Amino acid sequence: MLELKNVGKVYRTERLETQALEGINLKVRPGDFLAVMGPSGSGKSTLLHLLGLLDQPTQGMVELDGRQVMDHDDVTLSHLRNEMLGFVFQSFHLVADLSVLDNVEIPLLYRPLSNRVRRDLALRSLGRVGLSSRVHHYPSQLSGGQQQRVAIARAIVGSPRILLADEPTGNLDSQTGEEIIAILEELNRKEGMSVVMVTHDQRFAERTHRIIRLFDGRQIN
Amino acid sequence: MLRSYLLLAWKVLRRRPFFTATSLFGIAFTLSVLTVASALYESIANPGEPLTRAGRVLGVYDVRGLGPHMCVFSSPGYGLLDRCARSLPGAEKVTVFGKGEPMTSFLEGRKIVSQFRRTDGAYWELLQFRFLEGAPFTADDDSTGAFVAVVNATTRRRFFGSEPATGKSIVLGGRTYRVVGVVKDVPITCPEGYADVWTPIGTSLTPDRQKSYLGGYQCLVLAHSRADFANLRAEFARRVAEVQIPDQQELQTLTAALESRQAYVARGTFNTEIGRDMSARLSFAVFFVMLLFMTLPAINLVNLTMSRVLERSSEIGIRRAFGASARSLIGQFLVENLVLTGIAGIAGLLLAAVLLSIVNRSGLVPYAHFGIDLRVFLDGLALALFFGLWSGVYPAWRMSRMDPIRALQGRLS
Ligand SMILES: Nc1ncnc2c1ncn2[C@@H]1O[C@H](COP(=O)(O)OP(=O)(O)OP(=O)(O)O)[C@@H](O)[C@H]1O
Ligand SMILES: [Mg+2]
Repeated sequence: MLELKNVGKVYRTERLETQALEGINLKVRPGDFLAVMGPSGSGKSTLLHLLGLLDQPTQGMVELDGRQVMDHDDVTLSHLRNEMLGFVFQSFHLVADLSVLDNVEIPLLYRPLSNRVRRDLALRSLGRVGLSSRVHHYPSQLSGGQQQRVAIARAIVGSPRILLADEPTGNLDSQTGEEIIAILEELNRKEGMSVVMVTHDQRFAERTHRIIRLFDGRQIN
Repeated sequence: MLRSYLLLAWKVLRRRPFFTATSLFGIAFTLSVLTVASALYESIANPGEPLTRAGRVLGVYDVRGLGPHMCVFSSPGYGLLDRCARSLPGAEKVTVFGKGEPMTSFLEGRKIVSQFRRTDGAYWELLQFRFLEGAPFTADDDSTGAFVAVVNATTRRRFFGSEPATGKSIVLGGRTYRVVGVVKDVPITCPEGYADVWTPIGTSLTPDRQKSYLGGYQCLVLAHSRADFANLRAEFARRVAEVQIPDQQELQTLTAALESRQAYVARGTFNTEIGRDMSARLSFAVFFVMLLFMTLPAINLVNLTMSRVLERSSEIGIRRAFGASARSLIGQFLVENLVLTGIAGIAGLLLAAVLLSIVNRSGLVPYAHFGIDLRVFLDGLALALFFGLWSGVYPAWRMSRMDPIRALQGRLS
C-alpha cells in the first residue's frame, strides 16, 4: 500500500549537510503494526514524515498504491493525507483555542460533510477512546493521557488506512502509556488499521508485528 | 465550507478577546473617521438638493482685475455677469445671484440675524428647492423690483412659529417684504443654495451696481450636456476679454472663467489661477491622504495578524497534516480576517453615524444633515473590505508557504 524504495533524505542548511536517512526500503501493508526504534537523531521522525507525505525524499521514491507520490501537487497531497493518514504526536499538538470536539473535527473540515455528520463522527470517535464526557472541555483542562486520547480520536475520526504515531507515549507515565498502546493495538486488531509507531520502549515495540531499527539514518536488521 | 470557516473564525476570535478587541477598536476607529470624512466630502461634492444637476453646472466664482498699479481679486460684479453670462448661447439656464450677507431684524425685542441673499428669477428654475408652501418669485418680480421674499423653514419658525408664512410680511434691514414661499433648510455645504431669506436683486439694483464688474455676485450656468462645456467656456472667455472697463487708469484687464464646482474647490486648495482645472489632482490628493491615513492601522493590523499567525504555527502544521491544502488555509485565514474587519466595519459605521449626528445637532455647520446614505455606506463597506484583504493577504501568503513539519515543531521565525 505505502512503500519507500531506496529512500534517502538530506537536510541542507547554509553550512551543514545532514544525511538523516539513507537507503531505506519499507512496505506498510494493510493491517500491519510496525515499530520504529533507534537512538535520538537516527531519523525516526524523518521517516514518519516521509510516510506521512509531509515531506519529500531527496533520493529514492515514495509510492502510494503503486503511484509515485512526488508527482502530486499540493492539493492532491493534502487530499491524500486527509483520506489515508492519521497522525499522533509526542506532544499531542491539540489546538488550544478549540474545544475537544472542535479539535477532533479538524480532519473532517476538509471533506464535504454537513456539520451534523461531522459532529456525529467526532462524538463517535471520542467515544472510542473513552472521552465522551469531556467533549466541551479545552485541551488545557485535560491530563496528558486524556489529551493524547483526544489526539488519537482526531487521528482516526476520518477512518484513515494508516495511523502514524511519533512517540505517542513519550510524554506520558508508563501506566498512561500502556493505555494508549492498548488503544492503538485495538484499532489495529479490530479495525485492521495499519499503525506505524516510533517508540523508545522495548516492551511496547515487542507487542507489534515488526520492528524497524534505525541507526544513523540506516536500517539495521 | 464557507459556513464552517465562518464558524471557526467566530470561535477563534472569541477565544482571543484581547487580540480581537484591539484589532476591532483600531479598525473601527479608522473606518469611522474615514466614513465621516467621506460623508462630508460627499455632501460637498454631490450636495443634492437644491443643486441636483451639479454635473451639468458651471459657475463664475472669482474675477481678477489687473492694472498698472494694482491687482484686484474678488467675486464678480452684477454688471460683468449680466453682460457676459446671462445670455450665453447654448445654455439651458443662467442665474445671477448675490453671495449673501447677514441681515438683522428685531422681533418683539429679540434680535434675529438671517443670512440674506438676492437672486434673479432663473435662480429658482436652475436650483431645485423643495417648497413647503407658496412658490418662488419670478423674473418679473425681479425686473419690477417687487418686495417679495422666499424664506426657509427655520426663518418661518423664528418669525411665525408654527403658522404658515405665505402672504405675511417680514422686516429685514429696515425694509418690509411679503413672503411668497417657504423652502426646506439648505445646509451651508451647498453654498450656492444656502440662505435664510431670498429676495429679488431688483429690490436694490442701483445704476452703479448694475454696471459694476467686481464684487458681491456669482452665477451658475446649466448646460444641456457636458459636451457643451467647452463652447460655453470659450464664449464666456471671449466676452470677458471684450469688456471695456470704464475706469481705465486703475484696471486694464479682467480675468474670469466658467468653472466646475470641483475645479473651484481645487483652485482654492492649490491656490492656482482662475480657470485652471486642478480637480483631478485634488481627487488624487484626497485619495492619497486617505490611503496614507489607512496605511498605519493597516500595517498595525498586518503586524498583529502576523504575530498571531506565528503564534498559531502549530495549528497551521496540524491542519496541514490533517489535509488542509495551502489554498484552503489561505481561504480560512482570509475569512477570519474579513469577519474581523466586517464586524469592525459595522462598528465603525455606527460610530460614524453617532459622530455625524453630533455634528448635525451641534449647529457647527448650519442646517447640516450629514448622514450615512447608501453611497457613504458603500464607501465604508468597500473601505472595510479593502482593509480586510490588505491586512490579510500578506500574512496568509506567508502562512501558505510554511513547511508543515517546521510549523508543527514551532521552529518558525
Ligand atoms: N529541519 C531539519 N533541518 C536540518 N536537520 C534536520 C532537520 N530535521 C531533522 N534534522 C536532522 O536529521 C537527523 C534526524 O532527525 P530526526 O528528527 O528524524 O531524528 P529522530 O530519530 O526522530 O530523533 P529523536 O528521537 O530525538 O526524535 C538529525 O540529525 C537532525 O538533526
Ligand atoms: Mg523524533
